[in-house]
Amino acid sequence: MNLEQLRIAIRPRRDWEAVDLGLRMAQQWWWPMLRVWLIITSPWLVAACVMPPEHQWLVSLCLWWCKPLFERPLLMILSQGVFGVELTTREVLRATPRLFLNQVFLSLTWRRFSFTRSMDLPVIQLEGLHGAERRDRLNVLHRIDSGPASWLTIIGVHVESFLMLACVALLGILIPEEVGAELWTWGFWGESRTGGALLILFAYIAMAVVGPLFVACGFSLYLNRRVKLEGWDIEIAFKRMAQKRGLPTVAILAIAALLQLTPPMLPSAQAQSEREAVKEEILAIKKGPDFHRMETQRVIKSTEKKEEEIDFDKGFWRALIEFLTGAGSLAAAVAGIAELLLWALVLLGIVLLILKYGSWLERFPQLLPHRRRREYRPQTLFGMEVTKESLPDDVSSAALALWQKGEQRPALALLYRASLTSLLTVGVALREGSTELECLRLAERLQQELGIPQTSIRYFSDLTRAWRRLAYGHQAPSDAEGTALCRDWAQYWPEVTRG
Amino acid sequence: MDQHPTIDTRQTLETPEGTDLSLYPAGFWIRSLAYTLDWLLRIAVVVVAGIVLGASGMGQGLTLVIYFLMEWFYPVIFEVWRGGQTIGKKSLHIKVINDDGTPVTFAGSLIRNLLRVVDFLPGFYVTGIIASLCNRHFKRLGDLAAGTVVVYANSVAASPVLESVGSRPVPDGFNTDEQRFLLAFAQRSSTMSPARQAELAQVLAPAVAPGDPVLAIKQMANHIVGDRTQSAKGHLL
Repeated sequence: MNLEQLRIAIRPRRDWEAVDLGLRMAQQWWWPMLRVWLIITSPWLVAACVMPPEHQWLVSLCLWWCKPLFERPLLMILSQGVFGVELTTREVLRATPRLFLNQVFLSLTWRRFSFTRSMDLPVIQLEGLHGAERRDRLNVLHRIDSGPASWLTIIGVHVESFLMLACVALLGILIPEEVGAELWTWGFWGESRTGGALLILFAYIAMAVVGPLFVACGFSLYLNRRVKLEGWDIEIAFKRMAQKRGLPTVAILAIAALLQLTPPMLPSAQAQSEREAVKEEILAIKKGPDFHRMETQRVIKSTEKKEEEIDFDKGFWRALIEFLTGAGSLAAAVAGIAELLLWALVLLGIVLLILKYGSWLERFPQLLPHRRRREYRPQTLFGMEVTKESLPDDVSSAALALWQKGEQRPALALLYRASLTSLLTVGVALREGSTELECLRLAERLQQELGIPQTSIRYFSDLTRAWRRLAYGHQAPSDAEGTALCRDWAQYWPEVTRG
Repeated sequence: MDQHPTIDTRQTLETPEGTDLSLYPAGFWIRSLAYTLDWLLRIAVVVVAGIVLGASGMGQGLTLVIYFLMEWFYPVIFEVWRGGQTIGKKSLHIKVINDDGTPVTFAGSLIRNLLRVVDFLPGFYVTGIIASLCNRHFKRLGDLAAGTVVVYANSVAASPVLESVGSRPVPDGFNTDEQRFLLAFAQRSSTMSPARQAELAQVLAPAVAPGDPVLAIKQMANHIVGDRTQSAKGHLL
């Protein structure tokens, strides 16, 4: 056997990754596997079609029950395929009876319900083990990385039913309501011959799709386990190294053993008769319902039953709704508490919002209620403290002293700061973030309302102009002007100094 | 004989730095398990919300909002901000990434999750399953549209420690890949029967002579990983 012919990449894989390799293998050998599966299961389908409707379920059950047998030829295709041997459909069909007979009784009785069927099949079919040997071998194989084997069965069952239901749904989507086929009645699916035949067909399609995937993924799990147990990748690598160095190659190889254990081919003498048999089977399938348009539209109206059903439905849903909406007193109490909690949550949210953004709110006093607007008093404006406590007792003299010392900027700053403090004291709602001109305009606007003397406002206007020139333009007022501003302050803003 | 490409799930990307990045796309089996987990979780959240909030009108509204968010944004939020993994995906060690190997973006995640509607048709994600079987990277339609792929997030289990059997230098002519397999032989020998070990080592016997080839390869493996502390003992053996 030539290792170069291995069709799959051999390396140790994670358990689920091995399952996915199985999907890739199923993609690779999809049509050969599907072809063989359809051919060997066709007798069941034909039987289902010719049976009277009341016995059709027996055929379906039989088809389902015999699934382990139908998986065997698929495994044969795969196990040869991974070593680069592409079997023809005829070769596989010829080997099928022999494959079927291998441990058939056990496989169809209690092993039928084994969850790890897909992973165990290679042990009996490729390794040919039975009895205690088989059990020991399975114990070794199942030790690790075999968890997905059971999941394959569980998910497989679901995917199969989903596929079947999806076929039903697709039919429902595609057939317009106006046709009046009554697709959504029990009468159609459960009692009419068309419905029964369709269900069998859908189940058949679902099995045909899931079967090859199931076999391929189980086989891949088995292979991965052996790759790890026997170091196949190491064997391949070592053999390449030996070839590169011109060493004599050793014949005993586990992988070759796997290939030899697959059933030998029968001679191709019977090819012609086999071809005839296949042809007949194909013709038989073609006679089946799949290849004919079904136009039977049988409408069964059993009005009594319908009403009963509706009643049942209504009763059930009403009970459910009553249960869920809590008509009982306990449920009502729980609901009441829940509603209270809900409102508490909303209130809490609002409080948190205010706590978080409250300080931000203060920058916009016009948003505050009128009373609070009056009370509101910023501590600093333009980065200057505007509290009474921060001012000297006699602002005028303090400023004049600074001015005469030549410290013009601190002098004017003191005057301006003191003026702002006074404005705040009489109730001008200056806010943090206002500009000097905004302060002035606000003072002018509120002059009437708050009874500030006209002269004081004029002084504040002069002071603001002087302060802005000095602060931003670095143009100090003339000595006379500065002195006047300092001296006049007490005259126009008497409130603060008086305390 | 190499006319067919080797069958594998591994997808190799070349990064701008010139190194190869291997991705292992995950098929529908494990993804359906992860989806089922997520689905149960979402159902549980919505049912609990419905029981707790369902009594009042506002509560019912909120329940519907929760249901909406769970249905459409649960996967998006987890995939974008939790490393491509919903809770179900995380517990099964798979994740969503862009098919160029980068983390999934918000747009990509949104597209692949909105298109679940299409993959669901005509019921039970049958379209998604069939689509994932029709391409090499097991992408459902949403993945194809968004350019995303679901891959394994964990690495293959770490190999067990090497036996302390001394060390000996590797003969000339073993390149890095070959040395890697010498190492793999030693690391995995604990899971192989002694007979199988001897069988494998026999293939290389002339190249690693003299002495027992199994022991020789194990000693070389120790040498490769840099454990040369026991070389004296090794030579005695």
